[in-house]
Amino acid sequence: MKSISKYIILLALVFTTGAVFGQSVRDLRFNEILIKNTDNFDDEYGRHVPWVEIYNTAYNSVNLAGCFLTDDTTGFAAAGKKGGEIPSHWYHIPKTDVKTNMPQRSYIVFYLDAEPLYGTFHANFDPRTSQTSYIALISADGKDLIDLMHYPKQDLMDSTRSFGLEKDGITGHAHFLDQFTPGSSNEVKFTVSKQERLKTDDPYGIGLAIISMSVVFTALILIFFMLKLFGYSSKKIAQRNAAKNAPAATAMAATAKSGGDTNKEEDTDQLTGEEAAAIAMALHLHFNSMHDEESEVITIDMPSAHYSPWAQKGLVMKRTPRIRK
Amino acid sequence: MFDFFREGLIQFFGYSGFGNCTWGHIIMICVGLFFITLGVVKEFEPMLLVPIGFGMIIGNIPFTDGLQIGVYENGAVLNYLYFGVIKGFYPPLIFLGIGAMTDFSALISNPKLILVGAAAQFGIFAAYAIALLLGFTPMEAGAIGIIGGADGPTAIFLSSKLAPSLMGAIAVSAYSYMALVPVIQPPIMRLFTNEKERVIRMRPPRAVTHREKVLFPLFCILLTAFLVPSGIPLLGMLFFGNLLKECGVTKRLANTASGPLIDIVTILIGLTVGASTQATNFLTPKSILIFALGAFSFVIATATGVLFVKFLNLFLKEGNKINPLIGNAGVSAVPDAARVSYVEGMKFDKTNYLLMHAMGPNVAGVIGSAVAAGILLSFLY
Repeated sequence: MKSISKYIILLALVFTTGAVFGQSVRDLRFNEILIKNTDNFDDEYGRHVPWVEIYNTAYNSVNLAGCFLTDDTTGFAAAGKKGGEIPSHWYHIPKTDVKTNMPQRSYIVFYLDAEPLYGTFHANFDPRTSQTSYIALISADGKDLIDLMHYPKQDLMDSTRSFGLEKDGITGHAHFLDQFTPGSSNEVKFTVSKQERLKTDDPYGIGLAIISMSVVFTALILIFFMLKLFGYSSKKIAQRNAAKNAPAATAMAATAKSGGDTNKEEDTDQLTGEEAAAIAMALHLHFNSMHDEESEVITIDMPSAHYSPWAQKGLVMKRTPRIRK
Repeated sequence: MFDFFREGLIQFFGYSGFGNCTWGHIIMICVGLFFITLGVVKEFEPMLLVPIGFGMIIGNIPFTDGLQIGVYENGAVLNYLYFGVIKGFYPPLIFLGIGAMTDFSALISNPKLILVGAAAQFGIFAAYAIALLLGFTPMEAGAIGIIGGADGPTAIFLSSKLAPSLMGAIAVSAYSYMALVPVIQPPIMRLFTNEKERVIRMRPPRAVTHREKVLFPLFCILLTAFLVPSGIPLLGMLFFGNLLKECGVTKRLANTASGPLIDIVTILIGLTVGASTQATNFLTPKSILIFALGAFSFVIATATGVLFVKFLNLFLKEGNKINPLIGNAGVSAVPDAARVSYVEGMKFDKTNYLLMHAMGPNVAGVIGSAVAAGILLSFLY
């Protein structure tokens, strides 16, 4: 039974690993497409041809080398079966071009000009002559349909506007875009940067100073109240403990009272805190054999200089800089 | 044959430092030597000034470009080490060590001292406003203002995000003024206090329980990080380090964070920040302005700390009053600012030990400057 569990865990790990690798390619999405390109984005030969933009939604780089681009998914089901062949009409993205490696959250543009010999980014089909109105991206093994985008073909043939996702990589909200954005985000925002806004709204920095000081004080006042609460609860706990120990203390006091003169003598012999600390320290050092031969002298006598425990804490810190006069 | 030797020697001279030397390089090397002298002879912040000073010398030895030597050249060893400064991961590691070294007991026992740490942050925003008036962009002004926090790692962290081109000048300025705390602060402290105030005796702090010390970093990170999430890299590491120290079961981790780790990062940050002050980038009118603004920021921070204590005293009963000489410790130069309070206090009353009282606003200043950096980051980045 144990060995079966091992195999199950091993299989789960293998599948999980596979999913992690697959996840990268599966994060690619068609983002924007333009068919009627009269004076828009041109390719490296200066030609205005239809293009499609793919967006890497992942936060890691994804290499789409080996994947397939197509406007005809015929044969997909057969390709997905064991021993199935990849249809020859799919455009196989070359594996030798380093530019197919997409950085995180980046865009890549393919020209749909049916001229695959023109370079890596020129697909072998042209939507203007295509029988379908979609474009598909299929994984390198031909088994996974990574993304499929339907587009209003006739409208795109008539219009010079591009069609794409409203928000980068988020499918379901595709429409005609107001601007062409090949190789960049579809979400064109004309926003004023934080710096520009501050320059106009707060040219002297007074507003920022007031807000910032308020936030600093708020943060530290919150800590102040928390510490007050700490102090209050500590006091309560101490009082509760004292109340708990009160009967024993009363009993001890009563015993001491009934003991007469002999106990009075014992009281005077009671150790002070400093003496107890010195003895405890000596015992600690002795039993832990930390220092067999002490170079220092341990004493309970008051030092000639008026050091307080606080001042001594200062001694373990960096020495005061010497200023030569 | 003679021509071959002559040309060879000329070519070699062209590659050598002598052949490429400018007055700027010589000035910066002298500044580096001055920093080392301050550290070694005067013992002003030697842990920082010695690596920075040596870094300045390394960074300003002239060389021919393209040999992958300089701190700004891709592939150079110094460039790899400088990566931690550019990407801002050295400062949080230093904060981890600071957290593992800092005892917050003084603050926990007397919570009102935390407000002094907040007030002293005003220097940051005053310098920000002045920098704007002098023509710096808001991002540059924010990076310059943080010098007033008197916290080198925070200054490097913020300037690496807001104004990387000014980082060398800002870092050197911040560390220089931190080293000069015993020189800069006392006159300001004396200026804003009178004889009577300087001898105020503060109530001894109460004993702080282990439970309070453990809960402190946990509550603090929750309270501050929720308010200013952009401060998480600094605040998170500070309180994490403190938790390692106080929880009592991670002594080895706390020892590593407060010992070997912070030492290694201090070496790397000091050396590379020093090396980044190449004459061509550093010797500019902007750098001089940054130094002037840094000094202004520091003075304002010290003054507001002292004045705020006096303001607080108006509302406190006799016996509960705070000695205004600990107000300077609101800047986060730990523990130098607290020690200045102590030394100044001793000058006026030989038995008035202010050190532990001053540690309260001093550690509050560390929290306050990290919060202020987070706020500037969220507004300007």
